[in-house]
Amino acid sequence: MTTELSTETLATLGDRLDAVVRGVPGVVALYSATPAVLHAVTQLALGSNTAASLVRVTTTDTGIEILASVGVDPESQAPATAAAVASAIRAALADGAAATSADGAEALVNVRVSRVVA
Amino acid sequence: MTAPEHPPTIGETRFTIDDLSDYLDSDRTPVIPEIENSPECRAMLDSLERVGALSRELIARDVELNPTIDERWLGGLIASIGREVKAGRDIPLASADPATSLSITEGAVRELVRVAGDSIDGVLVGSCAIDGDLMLPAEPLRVAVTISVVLNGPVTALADAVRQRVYSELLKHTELTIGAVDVTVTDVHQLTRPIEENE
Repeated sequence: MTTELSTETLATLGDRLDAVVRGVPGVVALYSATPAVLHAVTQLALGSNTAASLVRVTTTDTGIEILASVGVDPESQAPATAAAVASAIRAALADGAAATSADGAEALVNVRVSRVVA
Repeated sequence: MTAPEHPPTIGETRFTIDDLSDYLDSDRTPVIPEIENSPECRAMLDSLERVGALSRELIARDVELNPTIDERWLGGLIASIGREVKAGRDIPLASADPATSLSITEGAVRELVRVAGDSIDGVLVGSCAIDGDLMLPAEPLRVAVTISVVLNGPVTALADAVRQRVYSELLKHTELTIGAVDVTVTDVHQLTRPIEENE
């Protein structure tokens, strides 16, 4: 069974998680987790007034899958910062955003450190 | 007749090194989100700026260096960076939660090595290679770095400084087991006048 979530709901959740991830100490950049070409196509579809979210939220058979691609401050430690991002995403899901997902849906959270950059 | 060769694009974008160089020349305006949201493009832009600044610094220090910093050398260096910024595989980081997956990309690790080397005064990293299985955290890896140096001190001291900086950065930001960091000096630029105290 694939979790039923509207495209709009996924986009809203993605936008919310963008803000959450950007607020994690040690995160200095957020990149598109979707391949650049796909992200550009999504952006075209949304028009110039709405930015496509950079955190990718997709549905799976059992729930949702989230991927965040981040740049980490060299003064922080990349592994610890990645773990903090995952915790912040889970906290956000538990704190209201989860209401947008199906009951009992499982969230797989993936955090990728794409750069360590000042 | 063979088909004309298309220059490689950076990461998964449609932009080439020349496109990114033009984008820098235009002060990154108007903003192109596809570039700004791509870690590979951002790494390439930072490298182009760093190499450009270091080259200008060398030339400013000694105009007679111009013949040794030729376009072919710079072109080779930039092409090498272009290959290395590719994200590559996701190298796993430890996570206690089976529903959480943490990773750092190969491209991020290579950039980490390059920036660590470039941060040593008088050093410009030419290439960076990581030998070994990145997917096996316990397996010792060999990091091979080639550098160009401006001779303002003993070459061995510069190479040692690069080795130590690279090792400490990898220790800080990855969970890889580093068996060796080998530094090879491939180019030596000799200053014809000494570097002043305040330069």
